[in-house]
Amino acid sequence: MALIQTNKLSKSFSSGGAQQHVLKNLDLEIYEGDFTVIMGPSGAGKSTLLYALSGMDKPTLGSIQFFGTEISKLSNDQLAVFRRKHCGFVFQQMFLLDNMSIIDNVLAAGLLVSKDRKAIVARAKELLTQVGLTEQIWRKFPTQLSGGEAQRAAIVRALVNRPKVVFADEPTGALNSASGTAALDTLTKVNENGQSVIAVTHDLKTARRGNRVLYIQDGVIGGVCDLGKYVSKDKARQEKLIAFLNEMGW
Amino acid sequence: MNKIILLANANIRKAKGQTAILAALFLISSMMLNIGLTVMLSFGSFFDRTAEELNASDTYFAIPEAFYSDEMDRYFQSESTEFQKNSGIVAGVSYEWKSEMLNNDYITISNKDEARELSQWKLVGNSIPETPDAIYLPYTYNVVGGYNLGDPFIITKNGQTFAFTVAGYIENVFFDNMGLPETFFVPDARFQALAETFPENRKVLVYANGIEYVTKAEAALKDMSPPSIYGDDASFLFSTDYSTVKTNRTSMASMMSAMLIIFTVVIVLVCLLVIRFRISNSIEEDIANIGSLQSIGYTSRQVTLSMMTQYGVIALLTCLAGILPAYLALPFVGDVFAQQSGLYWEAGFEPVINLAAAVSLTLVVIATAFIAALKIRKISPVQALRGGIMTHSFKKNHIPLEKSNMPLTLALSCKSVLQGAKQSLTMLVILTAVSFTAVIAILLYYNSAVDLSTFEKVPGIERANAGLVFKHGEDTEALQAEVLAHKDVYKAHYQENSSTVVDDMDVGMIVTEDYAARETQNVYQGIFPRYDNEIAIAGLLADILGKEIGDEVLVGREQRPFLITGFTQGMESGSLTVYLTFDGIRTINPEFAETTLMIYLNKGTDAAVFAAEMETRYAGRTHAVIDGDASFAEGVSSFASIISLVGLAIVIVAGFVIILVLYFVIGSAVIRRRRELGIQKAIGYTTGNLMNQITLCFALPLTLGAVAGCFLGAVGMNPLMSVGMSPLGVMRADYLIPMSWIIATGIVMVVLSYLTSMLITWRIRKISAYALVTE
Repeated sequence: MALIQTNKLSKSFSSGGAQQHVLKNLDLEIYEGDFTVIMGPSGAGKSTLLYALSGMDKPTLGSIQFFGTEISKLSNDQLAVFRRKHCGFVFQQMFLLDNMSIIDNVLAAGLLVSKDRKAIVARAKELLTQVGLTEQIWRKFPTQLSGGEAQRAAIVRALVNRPKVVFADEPTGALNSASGTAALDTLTKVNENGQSVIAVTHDLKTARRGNRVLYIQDGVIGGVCDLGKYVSKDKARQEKLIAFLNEMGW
Repeated sequence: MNKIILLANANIRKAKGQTAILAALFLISSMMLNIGLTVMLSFGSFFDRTAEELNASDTYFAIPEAFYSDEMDRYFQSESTEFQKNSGIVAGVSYEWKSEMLNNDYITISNKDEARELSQWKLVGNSIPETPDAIYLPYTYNVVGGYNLGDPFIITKNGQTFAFTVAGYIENVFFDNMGLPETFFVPDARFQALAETFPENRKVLVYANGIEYVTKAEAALKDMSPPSIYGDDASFLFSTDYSTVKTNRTSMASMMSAMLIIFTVVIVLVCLLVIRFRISNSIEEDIANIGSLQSIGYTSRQVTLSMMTQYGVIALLTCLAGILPAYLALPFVGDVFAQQSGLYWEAGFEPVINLAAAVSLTLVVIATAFIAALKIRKISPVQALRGGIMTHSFKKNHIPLEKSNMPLTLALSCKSVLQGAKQSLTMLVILTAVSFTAVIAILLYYNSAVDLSTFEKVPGIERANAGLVFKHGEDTEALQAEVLAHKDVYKAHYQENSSTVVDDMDVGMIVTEDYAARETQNVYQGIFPRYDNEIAIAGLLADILGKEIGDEVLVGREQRPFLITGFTQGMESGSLTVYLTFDGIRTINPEFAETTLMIYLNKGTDAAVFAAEMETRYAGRTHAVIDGDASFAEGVSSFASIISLVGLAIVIVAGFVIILVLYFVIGSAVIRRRRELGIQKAIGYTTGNLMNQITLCFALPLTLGAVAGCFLGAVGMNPLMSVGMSPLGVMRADYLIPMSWIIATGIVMVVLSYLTSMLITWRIRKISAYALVTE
């Protein structure tokens, strides 16, 4: 079933009086329960697509149906409410709120949706524990954490409201190898638990985690690769992905 | 130096909006400071210059012509260095004033064509060709009274009507709103005709130089008069000196200019706090830029100097620009003061005052910028380039969300308040200062425009609705009983205004029998006298003489000791007044007789109608019938209108300052928290959520500041006014402090702050989460 469906989705930016068409008449479907990976060269429009799909930015033309809701017509505030209920975000730079402890960062998102304070606090603690962050770390401020710890905290914040989709923009871009793997493990686990994940990446390790890879080039979908369910240390999967990317001119 | 100017210029251009707000604040400060300083420093000297130009005498006496004798002539010849005699008619008359009939108890009509060397007069503005019915009125009749050249001016006295045509406006030194009659000038022929019509009102006006003590001279002149002059004619022998008149005619201008300067100081302090706040913020925001500059060879000193230059230039330019509106406003200020001074004050160009104001404000700003920018010295280029010193080292997670039961928005706001304690404190101090000033201004306005009951008591003058000045020899006791029997009268008692000598000082003197019957209880310490050996003295006089309650003073030329029972306050008689009982004064002067009956009417009684009835009833038995309500209202209204205007102006400026400061501080905060707000938007906070969060974050310190300012204003009003008005003889001010007005002021301040905050935070809608992640 299509979770997100776009119809002639276009996005243009004006720069110095000139129009730059980043997304051009995109028709695509994202399916519920998928780990969708969006790849492509720099400037191809990957992040623009991600933020348009998540309602963080509005398309210039076209429509986006998100689980039956036409989000391209929503106002900014309606989009905000929509995002808080249905979307979770993981950014390359984490974007945690520096003036709050880690648990407060999670609760600042959780309490926005749930009125059941006890339940949301309990869920936040459970998630933080699941991603390997100790109680001592919960009380720390983001600037006192390592990159990996901060990214895991950001993932917990993205998950706390049980969103339909977790949008991840280069989730391992600012992490070392070990931390990146841990973050990807968490996202994979999230997907295995039934939540959809849409990730933008340049990184093969991240792309391998997806079951469907969309390759975007010059604002259009250049190709789609179906990798199937993720299995760790699956060589054929890696080769299939590389072959697809080579075909796309990666 | 060029590099520093370039950097400063770049900073100014980068923060155009904030620069504009700071400029507006400095412009207001500069304008008010220049007005205040110009009035304070040049109004008094202007009065002196006018007096010099008109060759004003040191002293002035108005002596009934019937009593003027050769002996008096000889006295003036021997006691003065020079003197001049003129003719005058001093009388109570009625005429139109601001479209209503005014009973003025004392005016002087002088002969325009009489030669004068001392205390001359001059025409102000245009005049029309003189006709036989020409009359020249004081300048206030144009500014306040609304008379124009060529208008008819009709005087009524004892039922007779005298028509004149306004031919011009004049200035002279010897009149004031506190006691000396205003002077009208008419041509010789008309003057002689009036003098023949009212022979009993003819006075010899003596202007003399070289007489040291005016009241001593007045006492000597009374000694030379028939005994009856004590009593029924005492109030018709005026005397005053230049310093008393000058104080009365310029005191309000001095006080108002002091108010303006104090308010300016408050605004400047607010500006300095804003600058300090802005510099701290800009160091945090531009830390990477500072690092870049340091890495290419700029020293910390140069970066600091660029900030000092940036704010110094803004301050200097706007302070200089503020001079122009100040000069544009000064003619209006001059018109306001003319209501009291009666002088046409045209403020001259005062470059020294203007430059001193601009330079001193700029220096204070530069010093503040220097102190605020000192932390730049602690930043190393590497630290700065890496994102800087930890500008915020959060050590405590205030109000943890897992434990707090507050609504989320409120909890996040409280977090911000506690984490940004310095910013919150700055806002609290600013709102306290501005609210304090606004409350003082509101209270001044309330007391001078809404409920004048206390304000009217400030001069310390007893207010009766009407007065009768009986001729000497009348049975005053029987007359008092008769008046008391009138259906509209609820109280009547005798009170005389005279003068005496206390411990060799010339002072004004009030005499009445029962001080408890007075409406103006202006004893602020101790009690009024009750026995013949007791005296109450003005607090200012007590300070000069170094006397305490219970001490003795020597009264009169007989130097009889009196026991001080209390200290009084008030501006009467140059604030140097003593209070005795009739029994007390008669121990010095057994001839002293009561003649002036103060009459208090039932509520709703028209004093003018009552006075007219008394004039008919006691025709030929009185020297004067006084409509106290009208004359008091006229005297007080000029003070009241000046104070209410200045009060209102300060309230408006205070509101404007709050809006500007909030715009500056909250605007900066929104820019500074741009990243944080973007993140919150990304995770689902609406613009409304964020607006409320930021507004609430400011609402707490703003509300506390408004409450603190209102409280301090309410508590501090009277002590502050006591200090400010003590030179005028008001030692313990007792202005009304209506709680409802103070609460309303506080609410208006908070609501204004809240609405301004909401308006400013509306710009949050422009911060897009997408912009944040793509920046």
